Amino acid sequence: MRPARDTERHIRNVYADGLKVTTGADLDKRVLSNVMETLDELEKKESAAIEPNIWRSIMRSRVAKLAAAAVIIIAVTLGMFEFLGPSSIAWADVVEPLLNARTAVLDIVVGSGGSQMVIHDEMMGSRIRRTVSNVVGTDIIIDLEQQKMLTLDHDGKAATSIELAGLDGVENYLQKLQNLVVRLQESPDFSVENQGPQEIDGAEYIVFVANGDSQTITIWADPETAVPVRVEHRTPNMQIACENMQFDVELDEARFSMEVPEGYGTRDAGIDFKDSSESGFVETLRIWAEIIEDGHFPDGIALEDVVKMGPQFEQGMKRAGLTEEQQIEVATRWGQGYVFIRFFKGQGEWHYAGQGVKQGDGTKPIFWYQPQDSETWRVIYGDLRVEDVAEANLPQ
Amino acid sequence: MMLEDTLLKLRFNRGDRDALRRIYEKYKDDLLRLAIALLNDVSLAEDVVNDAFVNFTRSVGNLSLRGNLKSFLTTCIVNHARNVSRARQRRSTVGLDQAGQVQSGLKGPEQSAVFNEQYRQLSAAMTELPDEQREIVILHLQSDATFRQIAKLLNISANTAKSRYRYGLGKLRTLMNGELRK
Repeated sequence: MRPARDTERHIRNVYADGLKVTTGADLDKRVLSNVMETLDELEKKESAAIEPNIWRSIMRSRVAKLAAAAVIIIAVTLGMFEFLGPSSIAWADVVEPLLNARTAVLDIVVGSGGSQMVIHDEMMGSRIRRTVSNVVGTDIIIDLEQQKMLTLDHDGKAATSIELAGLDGVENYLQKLQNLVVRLQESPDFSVENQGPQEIDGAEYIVFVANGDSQTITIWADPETAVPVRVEHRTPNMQIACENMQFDVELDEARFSMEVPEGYGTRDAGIDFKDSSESGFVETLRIWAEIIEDGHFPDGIALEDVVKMGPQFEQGMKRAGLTEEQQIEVATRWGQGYVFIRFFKGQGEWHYAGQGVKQGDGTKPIFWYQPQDSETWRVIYGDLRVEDVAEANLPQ
Repeated sequence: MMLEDTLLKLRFNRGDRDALRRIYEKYKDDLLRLAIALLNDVSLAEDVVNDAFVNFTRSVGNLSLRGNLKSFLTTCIVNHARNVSRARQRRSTVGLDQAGQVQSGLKGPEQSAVFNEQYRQLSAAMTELPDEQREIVILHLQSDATFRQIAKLLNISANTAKSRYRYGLGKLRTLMNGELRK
């Protein structure tokens, strides 16, 4: 009798190696026709049933939090890079308190209406302690002088240290506001209008509206002291307002320490802010449509959209059924690619038109920008191909 | 590979036809080969592949995203093949050696006389095994499934899978040695 091992080998030889089978064209046609017909029937009967029904729950797992860390890391940089431009003289009396303040406390409100997100900043010189309304249980400490950022996840007792060195535009935060005003003032189309007194919550303020360089800034200031209490800033891609501004408030220096608190573990950020590429950004768009947005490109991709999408990001990961390792990998790839527009190095502004576009629709341009030193533009389409396009042929 | 399957399942669950087509293209040959081995009948095996994919399509929107896609499809084939096998017990079967007459689309297997004889002997021995032993022997030796995977597929314990395999293999040895002595 042949030994068991021989029998196994013989069966493998015949069934696994010898039996070379490929389906024929007739079978392929029959199966594909039947399955597509079945799909049609199902869609007609109950199109809603095709939608995965797992949006109800929000992932609370440790891994989801790790994956969401990529979103948090991107989100919490809001306000640090928006106000670019050369340092210069302060604009009028209303800006002076901002410049001379030793400490400041303010809320940065992103978006408008019911979809607002609030960043609460405590500032001491070049250091900021930040909380973000949509990023629960996390504090962020930023030291612009050391060019470092530390995120503290209090629920997970985890700290993530991020290097900001080498990035353009990382300067004293208060100077950013000043620079914005200066940049407007120096633009050829600059205009400023004193709109006179206006009332907010029963108090009266003087309102200045300045326009220039495709941006608008509105400042509400105390009519007696000229101290600004609210600054509103609109760009083509974002609307930010600074509210509840207070200057020279007593703040505890320990709150700005970059030391990892006792009992906290450390996490790798996984994202390098200096590593920015168009191909990485295309991957971000792919992940956004395929995993986060269920087959469509998101309505917006500005930072305020990122900050608001925290739970959605987690839900998408859950719906995709990714393993722990995959979730972290996908989130990191998403975050790394987003660096491309977060710290945009092209000429002028980038443009996004992906709202409502289905992934794979090669007829619709979803994103375009002009690289540095390039006369043509790069256009990304719904099928994620990228083409060089002359300015005259850009999407309207 | 796993990530690709996860994304395919995700897209399939949304009703994406390209994803469904890709899933079929990716696994059709392995599944047909499995069905042929289980049933020793090309025509019935093709029916099983067709029915399994139609049933799989009915899971659109509800397909679990956590499990292994190939394992899921393999389970579909095994279950369908088992049903067909039970239903045909009173009917005569058409073996692979007659496949050319009933199934023009099949491009293999290799038609060497040696292979055909080996296949005929093995298939004849396989038909003597109870379904539950044959399934495990084929899944383990043809599809390279581990006993743990087989246990999960067939909803039995790994020890049961191992012992059925051992019995099945023992019986095959006896049958095939008897065949060779003829």
